Amino acid sequence: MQMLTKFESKSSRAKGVAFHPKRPWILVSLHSSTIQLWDYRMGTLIDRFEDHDGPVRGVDFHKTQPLFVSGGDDYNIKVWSLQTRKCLFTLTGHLDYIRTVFFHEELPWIISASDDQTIRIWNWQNRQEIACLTGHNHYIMCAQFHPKEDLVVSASLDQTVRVWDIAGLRKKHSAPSMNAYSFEDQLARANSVNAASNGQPDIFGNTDAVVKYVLEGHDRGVNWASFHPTLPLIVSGGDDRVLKVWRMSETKAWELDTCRGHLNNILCCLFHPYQDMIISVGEDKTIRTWDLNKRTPIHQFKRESDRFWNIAAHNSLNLFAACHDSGVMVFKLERERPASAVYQNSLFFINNENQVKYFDASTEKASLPLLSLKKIAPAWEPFRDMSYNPAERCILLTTKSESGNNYQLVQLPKDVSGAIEPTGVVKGAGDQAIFVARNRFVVFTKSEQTLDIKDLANSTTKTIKTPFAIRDIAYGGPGLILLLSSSSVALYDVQQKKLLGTVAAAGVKYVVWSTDNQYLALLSKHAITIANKSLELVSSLHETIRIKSAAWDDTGVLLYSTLNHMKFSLLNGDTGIIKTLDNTVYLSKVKGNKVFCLARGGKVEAITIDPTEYRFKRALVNKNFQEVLRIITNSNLVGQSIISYLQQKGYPEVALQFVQNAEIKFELALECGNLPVALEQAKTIDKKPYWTRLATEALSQGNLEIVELVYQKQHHFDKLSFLYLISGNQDKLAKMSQIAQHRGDYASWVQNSIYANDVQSRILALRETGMSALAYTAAQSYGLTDIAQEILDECGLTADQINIPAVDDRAPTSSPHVTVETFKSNWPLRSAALSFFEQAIVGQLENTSLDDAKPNLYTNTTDAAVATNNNADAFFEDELEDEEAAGAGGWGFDDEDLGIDDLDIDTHDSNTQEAGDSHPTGSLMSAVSEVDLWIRNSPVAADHVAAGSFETAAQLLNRQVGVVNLAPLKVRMFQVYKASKAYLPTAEGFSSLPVFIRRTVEETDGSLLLPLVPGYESLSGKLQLAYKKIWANEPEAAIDLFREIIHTILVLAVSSQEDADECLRLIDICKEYILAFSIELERRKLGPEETKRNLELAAYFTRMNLQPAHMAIPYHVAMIQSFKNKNFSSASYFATKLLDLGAGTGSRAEQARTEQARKIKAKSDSAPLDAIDIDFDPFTEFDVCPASFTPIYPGESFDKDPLTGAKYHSKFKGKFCKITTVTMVGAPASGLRLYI
Amino acid sequence: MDPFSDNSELFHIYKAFFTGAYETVLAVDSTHFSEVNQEKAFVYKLRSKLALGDIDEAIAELQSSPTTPSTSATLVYAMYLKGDRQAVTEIESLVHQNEDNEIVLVLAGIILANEGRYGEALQVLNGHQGSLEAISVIVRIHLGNNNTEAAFKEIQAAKKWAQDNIIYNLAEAWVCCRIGGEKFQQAYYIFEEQAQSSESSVRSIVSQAITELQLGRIPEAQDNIQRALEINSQDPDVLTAAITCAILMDKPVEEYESALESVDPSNRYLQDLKEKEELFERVSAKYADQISGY
Repeated sequence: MQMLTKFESKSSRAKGVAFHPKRPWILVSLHSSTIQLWDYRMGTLIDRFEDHDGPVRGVDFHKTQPLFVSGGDDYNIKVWSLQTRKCLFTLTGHLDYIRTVFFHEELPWIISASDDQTIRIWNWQNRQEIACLTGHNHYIMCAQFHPKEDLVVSASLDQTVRVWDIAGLRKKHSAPSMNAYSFEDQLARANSVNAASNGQPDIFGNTDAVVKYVLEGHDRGVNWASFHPTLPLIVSGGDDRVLKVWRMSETKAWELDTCRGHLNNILCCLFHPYQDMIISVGEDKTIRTWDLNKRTPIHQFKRESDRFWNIAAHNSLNLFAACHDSGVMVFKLERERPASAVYQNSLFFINNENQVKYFDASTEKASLPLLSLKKIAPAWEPFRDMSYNPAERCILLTTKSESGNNYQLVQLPKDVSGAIEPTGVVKGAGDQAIFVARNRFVVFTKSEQTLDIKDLANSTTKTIKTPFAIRDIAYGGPGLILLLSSSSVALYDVQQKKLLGTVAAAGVKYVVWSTDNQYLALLSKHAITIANKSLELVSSLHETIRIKSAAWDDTGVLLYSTLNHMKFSLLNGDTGIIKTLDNTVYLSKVKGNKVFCLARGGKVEAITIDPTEYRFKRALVNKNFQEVLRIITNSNLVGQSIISYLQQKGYPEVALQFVQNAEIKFELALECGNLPVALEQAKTIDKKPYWTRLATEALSQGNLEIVELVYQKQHHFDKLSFLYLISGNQDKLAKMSQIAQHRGDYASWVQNSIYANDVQSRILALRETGMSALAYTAAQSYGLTDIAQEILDECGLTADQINIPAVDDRAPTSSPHVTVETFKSNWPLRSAALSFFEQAIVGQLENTSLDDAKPNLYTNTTDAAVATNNNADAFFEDELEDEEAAGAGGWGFDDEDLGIDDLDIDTHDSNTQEAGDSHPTGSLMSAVSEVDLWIRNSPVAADHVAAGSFETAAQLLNRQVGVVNLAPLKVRMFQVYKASKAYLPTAEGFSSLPVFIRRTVEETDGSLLLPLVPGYESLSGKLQLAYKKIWANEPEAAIDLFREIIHTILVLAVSSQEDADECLRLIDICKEYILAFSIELERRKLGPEETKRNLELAAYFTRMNLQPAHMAIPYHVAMIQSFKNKNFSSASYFATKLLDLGAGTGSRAEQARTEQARKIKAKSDSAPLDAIDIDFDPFTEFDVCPASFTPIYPGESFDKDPLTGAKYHSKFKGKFCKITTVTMVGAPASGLRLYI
Repeated sequence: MDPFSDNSELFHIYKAFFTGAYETVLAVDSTHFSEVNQEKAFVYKLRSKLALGDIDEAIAELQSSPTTPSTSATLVYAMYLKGDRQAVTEIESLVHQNEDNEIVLVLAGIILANEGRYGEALQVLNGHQGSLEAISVIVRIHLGNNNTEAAFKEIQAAKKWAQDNIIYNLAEAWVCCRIGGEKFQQAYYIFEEQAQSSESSVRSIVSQAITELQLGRIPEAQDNIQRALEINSQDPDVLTAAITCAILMDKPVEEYESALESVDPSNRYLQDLKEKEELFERVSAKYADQISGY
């Protein structure tokens, strides 16, 4: 057992502590009168409460309300609000120090124990004392409610522990509310207040609280007593330095046992919330744990200089808090990470009952326990790590304990049959053990710094000294391990004793390999380092919260969990939060949108996540834009984080697509230089800074239109003028001048006149503003003497009075000519190639456009459908008029699925037996070649073919089904022959060794070995293909396919009788179809004059046993032929038959066909006579001879084909069968064997 | 007495040689090896050349180097490969003189076995003193004679001291491929381990694929064969495996067959097919006269 400290605070002496039931908070009451509220997960002090005067000894959180209670040496009980962080009220009444305060589990009660020798119960809702329990005759050190029953236990320095029954109190206070009380009730109540405080029964004989048992046994004062949460047990500890365990029944209580060990006063003791353990603390500076069942010490944790005052247990988590002289520590007593190992889709783990279980991620089911490790698990020590060996199906487990760390090699059972005891467990000392090969594992001993390479029999084959000091090892690939030192991780080849690579990563505790073994994640407390398999650094990340576990997605995204979040990290180091976690979980396997985690206690949880975000980011990082687009179109992935991510990654144009907010959209548009969008957004926003920025951007892009628009909108007249000037837009410049005049803005007017070099306008402006001097000078300079004179006149001056210096380089009066009229169009920009997204956005990419793809597809299909129907109609019309059967148009029926798919039956393994013999040496083959064994083992021709024994195969085929013509079977036979052999390259100097592929994969017994014969699975596909050929009106091709099926079956072996029967059924189908379409082909070969034969063959065609969907073909042919040759009676008969087939799919083609049949029937029935007499009686049974295509009526002698059973006229006996082309008609035969 | 101890300088050479990565053997720089190991490395490099078909070059190199029992045996083996009948008697006399030289024994075993003198070959090889290669050749001879039981015994005997060695593992896998049942899986693991390692050879990959075929994992086998074809589409072993796999997947095989025909027309696989073709014609002729036409 070890103590895993999670939090420690430094303060003055801590006297009391309590856990918050939900949040990671503890309250600590200090001897210095302060109460602290800590977040032990983050390690931060949340608040301090200082309202008590003197030491505070007891604190407790309310289970559900945001309240807590405290009691101190100032005799006060204070109830505080967690929301306002203020004291709500104070309960007074005690006359001395208060030792403990606790809330009731469900009732609004508080219990307090005091040095005034009373226990008081208070109602915190109406803030009243409701009971005062007297009886102890010394300080009461502790009083607690029972969590379920109406009991109180108290411990006192009077050396007793008392159990009180408070059922009466509950009864009284659960009565109806005050205003419903009758007079009597009120009277009773009034009495009972007095009665309760005196411990006397009220007038009905009820007492609020009575002493049930007085437990005597301690030799000194008792400091603490606690109930067991479920069992009728009490534990107490006192100044006599012993723990006592007491047992209660309905009527009495007695001392069960005494635990000795503490060297000084025991101050607090309690039962572990769910394990059979007692925990006690005392002034001897120790925390001790005891086995509840044996009452023996398990472990002690000693502190150097601090006495322990109190300990509290969390009600649901495996956490304890202990108060001592210099603060508080929060710790757990066992690791809660279940030992586990992942192999492909399987997750092996140990649950909290020390059973090995296994979880299949593909079926999402957990198995029954495979093994129970209770016997081999050391007491109170969970298994730490597991390494799984799929080849040998065994696991290595490591444990840590006082007596030294160990590993155990355990064989997993073959079948899951419940928690059985493991057999043949191999053990050894070592800190870590890992499989590195099928038959080797490495054991690391930290103290020696050695690596022992061991085989499965646990004998050491090699011992290696570690190249440098390491703390742990981890799996590094076949034959490799990772050496984890405090500052780095190294990849080490244990075969060659060679370092293959090193990466700097501090304090790595766990290593997680990606599913393709290309990358590994190195997990330390607060950092993850991702490296490739050669240990080259890929990326690293840091977390402030502790990292607990990680698992790789199949696509190479790392998912990891911290204490409270599930996050992801891409290989480039980009991270993000996927989910907030309520409880700590250990991620084990990621499959699609499910993450399988081990929760504490050894349960597998499947957490459904939305992988869209990281898939999107991954696609973007990998520049897999198709995928990015797919995600954009298929999911609603809009969020600030995605937008900023896109922007940051340099894809503002993509981000643009997501944004609704005008401001952000404007920013993005500017960033990707998309002026039209920016303009649009600026119009919506319509704020000056945006317009200014738009103008700047537009100007730098030379987009004069927008610049002009913006300036106009913003009334930037100066800028507008200048824009017109530089772009040579003289008209507008002139207008600007007018506008300036209109506005009365003379400065602007002057400026415009300067731009336009319009002297008269300028002089006018100057004159109007009264700047006569300037106006005169200008006029004079430009030789406008009339105007100059006017000015002089106005001012009443003469030319002599004004002395203007002579100017030589006067600007010309005429404006320079505009050479390029820049204003006419925007500055031309080189059109850059559109990015993939822009293309998609403007819809230039086929099928990737965001909006259009679906509607297009839709219209296409409808068009196509219409077209087919039209074709079909046309075909039927042709058929009516044209005597020739259509060549290429198909039969004109819609292709229908005939539902032959039920042929799909797996031939593999379904019928093979378990290998019964576990000693392969006993049943090994002797020096007989395996192929000879096949011949010996099987009466199936295909097995002989596979063995290469064509002679015996031919014999078998001949005897079984009268095969005489082998040539058509040649291809199939060689296929079977080749399929069962492979050539394994072996030693240099030798040719490759033939090895054999068996259908009895599990067998090793020579007399049961049989070759794998392929072909059964393909039969169904071939049949479908043949049916397709029929619809396509290619009877020759169809016949070839049907015949191929027959030939395949002739050289076939299957693994069950059902499959064999299915094959025979297939042969029958093939026979019918071959015969039927041979008849049809024969008919088509006839010349136009052979009308009678034509009609006969058409009629025989209808007698074939085809699939119902195909029957329309012969009836249709026969109907048309009869109708055309004026055999109306027959035509009517066939039309009736055709109509009797009923509605199939109701397709247009079929409707047309039905319509046609109706017409023909109607027409024929008007003159029901046959023009030509043919050899066909619709009401007589007969067979058709496949050789002569003539009927064989009942009673006529015939001979059968031994394989298909096709009937021939006797004269064809001894000829080969027209249907199979390989068998001989009338040959003696025993029947085809396909299965043994 | 363990010449193949894992960490020796020769580890790479052995690993490459026995997994058929002969080019890799030649690429190993052995100049810094100890003297004893340099000689061994030299022999294996020359044997790699022979395996790659550079017989004349190897002979020239051998003739110009100092004579030791190992090199002379290699020279004799080279001559044998060239078709020199004299080599058989020469190797026999070499064996008499050097009964404890591993290379001599192994090459003698190979030559005798190729001559069909299996009994003598086994006798010679059984004189080895802890040579894993000798064991692997013994196993190969037994398997070639369909004597799986004897091969299995040989493997069991060496299991204790040789279990981790690649040469041993390969021989074990060959036997497993013949025994079948659960052993297929074992063979698969061995080959998979080789094929997964950083220096995987075409031979390891195709061997893995073959065990996958035997285990009925056809699609996986096809993937691996494809992988092997991408590395070397001329390797006869890969091509024969590809043919078998294609048939089992119901796919066309002509491409591979013609490739094999052009790469290695004398391949045993093709020879066997020719024989079978003749057999088929004979058998088919026997029944042909029973047919009467129409």
